[in-house]
Formats: sequence, structure tokens, C-alpha cells
Amino acid sequence: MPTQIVMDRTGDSRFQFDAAAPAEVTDAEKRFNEMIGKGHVAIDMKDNGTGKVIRKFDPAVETTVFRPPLIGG
Amino acid sequence: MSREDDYLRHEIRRFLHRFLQPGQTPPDLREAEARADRSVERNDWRVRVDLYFHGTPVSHHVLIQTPAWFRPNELREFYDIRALTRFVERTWYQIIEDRAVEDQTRRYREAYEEARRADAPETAALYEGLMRVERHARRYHQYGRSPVEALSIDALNFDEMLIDAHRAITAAPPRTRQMTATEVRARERAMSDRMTRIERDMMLQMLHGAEALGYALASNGRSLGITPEAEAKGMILLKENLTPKQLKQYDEHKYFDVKGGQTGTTYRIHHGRQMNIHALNMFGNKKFGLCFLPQGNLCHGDTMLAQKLTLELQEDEALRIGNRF
Repeated sequence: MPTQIVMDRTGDSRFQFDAAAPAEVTDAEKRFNEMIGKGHVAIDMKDNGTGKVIRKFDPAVETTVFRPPLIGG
Repeated sequence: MSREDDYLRHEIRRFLHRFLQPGQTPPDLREAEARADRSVERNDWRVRVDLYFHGTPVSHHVLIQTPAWFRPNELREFYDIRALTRFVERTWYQIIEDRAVEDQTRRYREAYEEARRADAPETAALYEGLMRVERHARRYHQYGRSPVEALSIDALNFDEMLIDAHRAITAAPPRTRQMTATEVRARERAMSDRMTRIERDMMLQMLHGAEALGYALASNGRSLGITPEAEAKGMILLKENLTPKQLKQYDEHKYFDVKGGQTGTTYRIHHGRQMNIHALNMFGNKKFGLCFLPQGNLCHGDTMLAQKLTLELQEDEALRIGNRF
């Protein structure tokens, strides 16, 4: 089941959705756009630890990790 | 940048410094909003900043009363209100990070002072570590400082500390009688040996200073309000998203290597949140340090994963935002 993972103060928040259920897909797309709007970067993560940046919501992506914006330390 | 931009920048920083009380766990900022309103009754402009937090329904509003000379159409940087909002959010996290570094610097300084008073063998090493932390703090962690505090930063004079330390080491013992030539030579030799040992220790500690600082900063999680449960979840997320090679490396050494997506440079990410990344040269030696982290006081696992993903997929952004050390 596709999962969206948002890094946050609790470690992470995970949101699963059923790609065959239109209502859940709509919610997931809304969440995706909301996170992008806040400056997060969405990354399509693969099982082998590699990933790629995605700019548009794709319900077929199995695991999406949202990385918050960066600051210099 | 105009005078109006400067005014807003100054006032917002002053407000956030007052709001974020030192020593307290800062609330988790969800988002900030800023907007400028014209006040009809007073016939002037006011800037309203709204702060919304996670985990609490209460938001916080602040009104910045602009002076008579303030002309909104003279705003350059903050003409776009979204830029002002971004500035509020960025400053918020900068202040939190600055305070974390300040806290570590203070602890380092106390440890050094204690060792110096006890004439402990690790005095020189602690001094070198303190200098390193202090240099980093001065170079990269002053922009979030409040305008008033910024005036007194140069009051810290660590050169005097070094002079004091050397004076304490080389202070002559009270003389009860005239020493013979042999005794004088023996004393000079002993002093020389002692200084050589200190210099050698300083050199060794310089090599390990960055790692020590990384671990010191790593322990800062608790003061940022990160719970052990969050730390555990973050580590699980990190390990789920490391390559098998990186995972093996991390389990064995508490660091892992990543390849920069654009330049192909190898970066070593040590366990930590700040000052924990080093670029390596072809021989595997440290070339330079790079310091950047995700906003939001994230735990170690999340921070290291964000650093890995950025270096692998958006190396140019990491190099643009990160500070070198």
C-alpha cells in the first residue's frame, strides 16, 4: 500500500492510502501539495536506499518521504 | 535592501528573541504568517505576524507598530509578504540552533575552566576544542542573535584564557634557596618536556576535535525537546532508507558515506545533527566540513536521512545552504 512519510518532531508520521480508492488518493494528493507548498521536498524512495525527487503527485509511487527545507548549521 | 526592510528585520528578530526564552523548550512551529495592514484610525501601517504551533490550538499574534517614516512602498526584500513569512520561519529556527550551539560552547568553556583550575592533563585538548566550537559559533551562529546581544559578542576573549593557562603552567615555584645550575637545567628540561607533551596532545585533539564536537552536539537532542520515542522512530526511518553498504558502515562505525549527486564527491555523515558531515578526498581524508540540517528540530535519524537524501539528490542545494568549517 502506498505510504507517505513526513519527517517531524515525533520521528515521522506515516500516511497510507489505497491507490484504488479515489477519495483516499484525493486526500493523499492534497497532503502532497500541502507539504510541497510548505517547502518540503518529496522523494520517491526505493527499497535499496536510493531515491529520486518528484515534483508531482503520483499515486503509483510506493514510498514518498517528505524532507523539510534546509538551514545552514 | 531599504530602511523599511531593515526596520522589519530588526523588529522581528527582537520579538522572536523575546518570545523564545533561553533555557526553555521552544514550541514546535507549524507555520508563520505575516501581513501588513493599514490602520485607518491611526493612519499608519502595522505589520502583523501570526505564529501557529503544533500540538496546541493557541496561536500567537504580534503587532509591529511601524514608525512615522515607514513607507510600505519602499520595501524591497519584504515587498512580497511571503518573503517576510519565510524570514520569520528561518529566523525562528536559526535562533533555536544558535542557542543550542551557545549551550554547547558554555559547557565546553566550563569543562575547560575546571580542568585548568585543576591543572588536569586534558586542559590543552579542551582548550583546542573550545576554540574550535567558539570559532564555528562566531562564524555561523551570530546572524540569529538579537541586536542587543550582538553588541557584546566580542567581549569574549579567549586569547586571554590561553595566556592564563600558559602562565599557570610555567609559573615558577616559590624559591626557598638559590638553585644550583644543575637544578635550573633540570627544571628547564622538565618545563620543556611538559610543553612538548601539551603541544603533541593539542595536535592529536585537533584531529579528533570535529568528531568530539559532533558527539557533544548529538547529546543536545534532549534540550531541543526531542523525546526518546522520536529518536527511536527516526533511527528506524534512517535505517530503512540506507543502502545495505551504508547500513553496514553505520552499524560498525556510526557513520556512512554518500556520493554527491552532481560532483561525485564522497561525503561522510557522522552520527549527529550539526557539523557532522565531511567531504573526503580521493585518499579518504577530510577535505572540508559541511554543516546544514532540516528545519524543525528533528531527531538525529531524520536529520541524517535528510542530509543523505540532499547530498545524493540535490548536492547543489546542500553546498549553497550549508556552511563550511
